[in-house]
Amino acid sequence: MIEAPPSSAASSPEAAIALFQQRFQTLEEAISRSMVGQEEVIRYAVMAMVAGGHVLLEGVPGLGKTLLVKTIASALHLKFQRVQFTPDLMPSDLLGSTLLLEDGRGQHQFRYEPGPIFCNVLLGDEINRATPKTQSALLEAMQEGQVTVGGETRPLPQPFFVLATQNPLEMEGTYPLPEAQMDRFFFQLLVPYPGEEEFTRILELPPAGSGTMPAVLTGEDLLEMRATAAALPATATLRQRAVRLVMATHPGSPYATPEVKRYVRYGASPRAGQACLAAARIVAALKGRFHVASEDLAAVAHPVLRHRMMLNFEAQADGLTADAVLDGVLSACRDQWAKEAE
Amino acid sequence: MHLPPEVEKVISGGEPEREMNHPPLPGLVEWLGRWQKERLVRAALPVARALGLAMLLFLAVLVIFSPPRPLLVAMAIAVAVCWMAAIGFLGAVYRRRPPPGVLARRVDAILNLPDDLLALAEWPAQEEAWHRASWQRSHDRLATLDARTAWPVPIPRPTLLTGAATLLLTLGIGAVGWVQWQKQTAALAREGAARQERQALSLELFEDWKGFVELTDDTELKQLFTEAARLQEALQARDPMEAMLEMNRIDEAMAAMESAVRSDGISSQAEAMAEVLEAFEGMGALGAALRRGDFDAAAREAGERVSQLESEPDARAALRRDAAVAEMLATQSLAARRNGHGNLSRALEQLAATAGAKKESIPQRDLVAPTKTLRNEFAQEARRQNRGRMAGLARQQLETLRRRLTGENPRENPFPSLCLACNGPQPGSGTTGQAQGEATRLAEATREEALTGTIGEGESETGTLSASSGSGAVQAATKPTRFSDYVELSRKAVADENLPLAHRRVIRTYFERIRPLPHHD
Repeated sequence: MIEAPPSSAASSPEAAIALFQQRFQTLEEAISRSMVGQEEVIRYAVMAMVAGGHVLLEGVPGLGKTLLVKTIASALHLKFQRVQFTPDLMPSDLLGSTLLLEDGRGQHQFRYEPGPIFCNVLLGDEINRATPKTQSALLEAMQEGQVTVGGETRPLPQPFFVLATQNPLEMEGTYPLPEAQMDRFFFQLLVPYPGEEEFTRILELPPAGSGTMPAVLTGEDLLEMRATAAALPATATLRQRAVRLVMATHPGSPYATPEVKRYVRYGASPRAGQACLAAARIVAALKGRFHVASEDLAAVAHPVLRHRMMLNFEAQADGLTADAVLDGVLSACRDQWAKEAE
Repeated sequence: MHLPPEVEKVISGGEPEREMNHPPLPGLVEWLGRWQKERLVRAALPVARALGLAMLLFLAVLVIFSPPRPLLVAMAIAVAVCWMAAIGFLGAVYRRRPPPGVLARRVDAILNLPDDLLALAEWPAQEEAWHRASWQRSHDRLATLDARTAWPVPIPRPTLLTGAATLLLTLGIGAVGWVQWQKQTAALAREGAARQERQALSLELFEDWKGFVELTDDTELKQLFTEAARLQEALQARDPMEAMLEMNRIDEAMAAMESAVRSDGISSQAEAMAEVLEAFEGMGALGAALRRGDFDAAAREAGERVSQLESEPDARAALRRDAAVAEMLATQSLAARRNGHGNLSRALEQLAATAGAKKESIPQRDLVAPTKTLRNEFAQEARRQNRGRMAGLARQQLETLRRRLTGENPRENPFPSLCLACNGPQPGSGTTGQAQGEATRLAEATREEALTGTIGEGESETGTLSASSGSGAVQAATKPTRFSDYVELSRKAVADENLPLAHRRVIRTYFERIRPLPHHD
């Protein structure tokens, strides 16, 4: 259990929660000033950052994914790096490499030149275009916050977020992310097309990059928010419900729905349960509660679980998405929760 | 909200948790009451259905089978047990206390709270500060709520209807059961009265037999009725099989006695003996008694004749048709000998010898001995016949008793008395076997009349039944009513245009003739 934040302002739970809400709202509003629409994506992206997770943004080009990441980095006054993943991108291009340098006295020495991963916010643009070898270079960084190059492990600056994007349309010349990589993303967010009104407002805005974004929060503020959310108690019943929610995505589980048994090849991992609970804590804190509720679990189920479930060919043939299967799972869980309240 | 310093220490990191002085859930008592009521209402419908089905079954059994009183009592107890079980079950349901988690889940669901009370119920012990904050927030929210309004527990219409139907069925069971109980009580009272009547009859029978044993000097009858004490014991022991067997035994003994009297008696010769004895002077009354079959009177007449003959032994008694009388006497003597009556045969033989002397008169001294013998024989025959009559009456008594034991109406079977009968046919001492007298002849006094006539087209027949032909209140009450019917009928008939004129006159004449006299009205 993470200890309560050591901030002087959070002397009580009420104060801690109020400070959390205020900071989150400040960050959300700051980002929303630079981005039109996409409120849900913004909210979930910030939630993932507060929880210390990484986000996989999926959407067609031109929807503002890169702008969103840049805006978040600017608002938090964090170091931002963007890497365009291409098939010829090598791990060393990402992690950095050791160079043999000669000083003026004719001596040679190795010096590590950090790669772009040494930042607070890393935008991995079109991550599925890189080869699996390069994609795998991110595994250690995303999970453990460190990289190992030349036998030497180097910690990454904290906080460290990876916000990756991928294009769902172009499958030619891409390398789908392996399951291990997908599991390391806290959320997978689907970036939809803007509505007509939002589209109009986008056209009214100045071109991207023309404005400046003042920082509204620091990295320390983000860590305090993370600690506050992590301190929210979760009861045994709620933990059990989280477990059953994740287990319901397993085709062999007794809690699996008929759709899951038919269409799901692999279910979500225990890491998904942890992510569910962590994300639910943030939702509860945002709603001003002092505990995590079942509806918080349901609120984060889709972004947490959709990329952790592998559908089989029959589901693809039937045009079924993970979200559709998750709808059934959540419905069954809600029925079960209601039955428990009878 | 300001928390106590201890709580703030907990939040800031280091104070151990404190004992809470508030209930685990805010408003626990109110919500517990609503939960109990909700459970009660939910359980009421299946309980009411089950109880209603049980009541319906009881009512069906009650109506179809009309069970006897013990089963009625058992059913009443069963109905009471069913109700008590239902009420007890509902009471147990109401009294049951839910685990805190269950109540918290239910309140959260009802009030649409996001697991607030569930979290409070299962709060981790080390999270005291957060717990207090959450508890206070929930308390502030729930304090403004009225439990009854926030958690309404209406009684569903099916529950109300089923409960009302069950109550009505129970009332129906009570009503039907009460009616059947009253009927069976009346039937038992009637049966008790009949049983008392039968007991009284048996007591009367045995008192009669006891008195008869004291009155009679017939040893055979005395022994037979004395042995009937076993029948009394069987009746007192309410052993119907033994009583019937004993009654059969007595009946067979009585029948045998009656048969013996009929076969051994001289009554078959009474007519012939009367005819020949009437040929002797002074024996007319004796012959008349013999013709009536009254051997008691015959014995008395014979005794009186013996006294007359002994008082004047030298006088002569006239004799008519001597030759024929002698021959008839010889014949009767032979018949008496064949039937085993030796004394009677010898007496008749003596009389035949006397009559065979072919004289106009006979010395009275010669008639003394045979007349004495005749007196003795007739007296013996009178006693024998009396025994047979008593046996017949006893059989009649037994038959009456048997019928009453089998439940026949006592009024249809009047009870004869041996004590009254044993005194002989003296005025006031005899019995006809009809203690309540003969039936009236009123039914035979009625007569039927039929009126046949033509009314309108086609033939019709009107049958009428007149009242008693006798006079009095019966005729006065019924005749005018009948006549008024006739008058109305005749008016309708006469008013009918289809009635031929000739017929109208006949009808009018008929009704004028049957019009009752003024003094009858």
